[in-house]
Amino acid sequence: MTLPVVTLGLKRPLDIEVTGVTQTFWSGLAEGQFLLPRCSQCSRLSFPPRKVCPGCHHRDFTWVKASGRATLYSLTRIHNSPPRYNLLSPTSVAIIDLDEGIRLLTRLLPDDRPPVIGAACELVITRHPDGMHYAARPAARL
Amino acid sequence: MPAETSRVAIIGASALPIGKLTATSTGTNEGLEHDFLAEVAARALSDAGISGQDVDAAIFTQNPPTTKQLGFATFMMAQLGISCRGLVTEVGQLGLTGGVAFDIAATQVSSGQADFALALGVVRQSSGDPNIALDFGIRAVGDVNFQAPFGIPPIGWYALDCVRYMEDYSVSRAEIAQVAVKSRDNAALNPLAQFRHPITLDEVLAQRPIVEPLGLLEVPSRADGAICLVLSREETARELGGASVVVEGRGFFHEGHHQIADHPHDMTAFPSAQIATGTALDMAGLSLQQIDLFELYAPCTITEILVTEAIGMFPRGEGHRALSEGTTTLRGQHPVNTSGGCLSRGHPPQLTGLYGLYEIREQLLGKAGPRQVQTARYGLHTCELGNYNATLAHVIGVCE
Ligand SMILES: [Zn+2]
Repeated sequence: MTLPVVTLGLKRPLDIEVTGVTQTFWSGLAEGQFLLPRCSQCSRLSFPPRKVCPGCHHRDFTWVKASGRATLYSLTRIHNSPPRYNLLSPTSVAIIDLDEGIRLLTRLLPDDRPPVIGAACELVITRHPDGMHYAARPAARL
Repeated sequence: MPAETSRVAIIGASALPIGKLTATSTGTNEGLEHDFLAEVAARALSDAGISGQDVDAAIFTQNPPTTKQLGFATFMMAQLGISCRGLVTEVGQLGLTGGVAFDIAATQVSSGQADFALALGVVRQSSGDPNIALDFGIRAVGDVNFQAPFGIPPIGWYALDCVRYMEDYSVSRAEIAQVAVKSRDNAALNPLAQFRHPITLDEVLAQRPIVEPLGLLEVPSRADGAICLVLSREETARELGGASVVVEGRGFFHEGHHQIADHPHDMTAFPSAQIATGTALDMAGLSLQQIDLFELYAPCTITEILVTEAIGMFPRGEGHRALSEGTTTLRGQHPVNTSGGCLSRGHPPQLTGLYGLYEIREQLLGKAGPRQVQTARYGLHTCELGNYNATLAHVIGVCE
């Protein structure tokens, strides 16, 4: 199973530096997966990927595929971004809680369904002229 | 040797009005950062009744990225011709900066490493490229690879708080926005304030959006300032004989999150504010009810409501009632941000902690003029970083 892919005309957000710690995550996006590191010792899930588990300071992780199912915790529209950030103005961001128990901040895609706090939303992969990224949108109708 | 437990007094202070430190009508700069701060430091020393040679330590707030001069702390001491046996350094921790400069200067004094210490700084960024400050703010409050790329500035996180709070407690934007009106009413009476003409709630709600639902008057504007506080031991202050205030209590807490944790938590609870304030009150031997005025770091309208709830002034979801009931106004039961706060007194971020302490000192010394809180004996100050992930709290009292 892979996550939906949405094509955006904008370039990816700026300054993303792929490292040995995060490479697996970024490669996963290209394969339609949003990968979460799970600590091999205490099983804590983390995001973003990191070198040391904040739960137990262990340093080995396995990767878990996120289902993409999430709940919208909060959102805002930002009307002022530095030009080099390659963002629309205004640009929407959201805090979402993945069903796996991970909270993260991401871009919120424009949608004909208005976003509702506490309602279901989903992770999508975004395809940009210069690579892949990720965003959230209200969950697809059943 | 002084006792380890020496209490610390603020024996002198000076500050420039908050606004723009830029150009004269002819377009020539009146001075650079060090020029403005040198003048303020000299005034603070004469207010304290001491000379530059008495100063043993100086803790500077870090300059914003628009400042050209680096090596600022020692450069500045050379400008002032002051040599020191204690510590001379710059500190910078986002919104905590001013409070941290004060805290370290106080520790210099209480530990005996300094008889007299300065906590001081200058912010001059209004004339610089706004995108430099915006980019700096974005990178300071988010993971540079996983949050900052979405362009969320510090006030964007408060907007996220606001949306969630409105949903959780069925509170309207207008109820929250009343904080901006109250702040402006106080600032109208403060000669140091950036914005002093009164505003109405309708005007606040009609402004263009900045970080929704917050509009132009519900978030702080760019601001410059310069300020210096002079600290000594309490007994030294008594010997000097001038009016002073003392640090009665101090508390700090960092919750171990940077903005949000990767495991869900209640984002609008601000536990660090509750814990740090509790520690400071315990040390002072006071209850919240005994505090006469509050200077609480609150860049946005929603932030003031959340922090007043967090420190226990109001139940969760009811902080906005303070505005309609007048509880936090100048003549209310718990005056909050009598200076006008970040929204109207103004918010040069690195200095806000010091300006808050300055206001408490003015109030406790009875020097606040038309915004004077009657019989003010104790003031509570907070500053914070992130989404109130960390709080530094000080209780200040009159030096009897
Ligand atoms: Zn672990």
